[in-house]
Amino acid sequence: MSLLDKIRRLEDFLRSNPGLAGVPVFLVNGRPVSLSEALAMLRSNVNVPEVLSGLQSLGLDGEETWILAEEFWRRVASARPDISIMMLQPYVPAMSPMEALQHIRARDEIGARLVQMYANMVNFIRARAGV
Amino acid sequence: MPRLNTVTVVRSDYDGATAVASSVLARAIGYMRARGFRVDDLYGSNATLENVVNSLDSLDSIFFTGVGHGDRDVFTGQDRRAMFRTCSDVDYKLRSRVVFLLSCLTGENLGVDLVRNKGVRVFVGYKVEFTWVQSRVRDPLADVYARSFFEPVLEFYYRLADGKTVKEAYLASIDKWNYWIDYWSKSNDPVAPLIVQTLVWDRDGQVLYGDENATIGTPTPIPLSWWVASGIAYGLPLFAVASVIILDMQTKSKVV
Repeated sequence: MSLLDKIRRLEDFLRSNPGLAGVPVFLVNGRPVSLSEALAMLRSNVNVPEVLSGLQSLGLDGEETWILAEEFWRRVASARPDISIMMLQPYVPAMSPMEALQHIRARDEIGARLVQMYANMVNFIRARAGV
Repeated sequence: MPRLNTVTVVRSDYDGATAVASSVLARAIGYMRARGFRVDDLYGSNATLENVVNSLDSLDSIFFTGVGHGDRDVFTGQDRRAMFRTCSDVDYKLRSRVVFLLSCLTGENLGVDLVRNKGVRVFVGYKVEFTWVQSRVRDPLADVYARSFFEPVLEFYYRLADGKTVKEAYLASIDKWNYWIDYWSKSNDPVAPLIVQTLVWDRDGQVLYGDENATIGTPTPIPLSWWVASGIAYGLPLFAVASVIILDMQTKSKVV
């Protein structure tokens, strides 16, 4: 797929899925980048090889996923600290976004499940965006 | 064979999560009763294994469903007491029945064991932690976020009570999950990514094992009184939310 095709696909995806535009999906030079930021970089010819490589590896598991999930929850905690994440499992039936973030930072069992949840969403984005 | 048009429901409510989910299940019970089903509702302190066994023995319900905390090998009742468990003999009480558990992770091992080894006709549940997002609104169906998670669950109950097969009800539920995933993907709400993430998780974790063509009975037409009652039940909270928003907007415009 050519660079122009990638840009066009990203534009189409972000136009029809604005709710997912701000999700951090890969790292560029160690910094979490969302698809809208990736598009801006491609358009302005900045970090193009890094962005293309990030799009290529979107949704792959690894250490990067923990960093990205942490950034994802940091953004949620900053946007709406007052909401609750509730579960029908006995150990943590309810938590705030900040508590979710702390689980990820502690890299405990709940944190690992939250990272898996985040990775599922990135796979969903990858399939839907087709980049 | 278990009796058609009969349902045993168990609803624990000892913490915030079970109380919210139980209140949703109350809507499903109302609908099933309106459709002519006989429902034995074991709620709160009645959500015990002993009561479930008595209900299944006396009513011989075709459909067993419940809300409670769960794990890969166990479904629990009130106060987290184990109810059904992988490799437990009491699970044979569910033989030949349709089972739906609104619970975390039971679709991973317990559901498989129930169908493969205990003779359960069909199992529907979740192989992940059933998770939802809620703001401060107490009624989950009046909550802008929580509603998106419970409508797909209710869709399964409603279609089953309409006489559809388990597969048809399951697919109708998946359609509802997809509707809300699309809705939030298009939203500019700052929490939209979290909602999409969690909806995808629940949708992909919803499993069906066993006889997809099973049904739970033949429904009767819904009486007018149910529509009136549910109109009031749904209408009043929505009216209250709309009024608060309008009053808030008016106050802000006066301040400006």
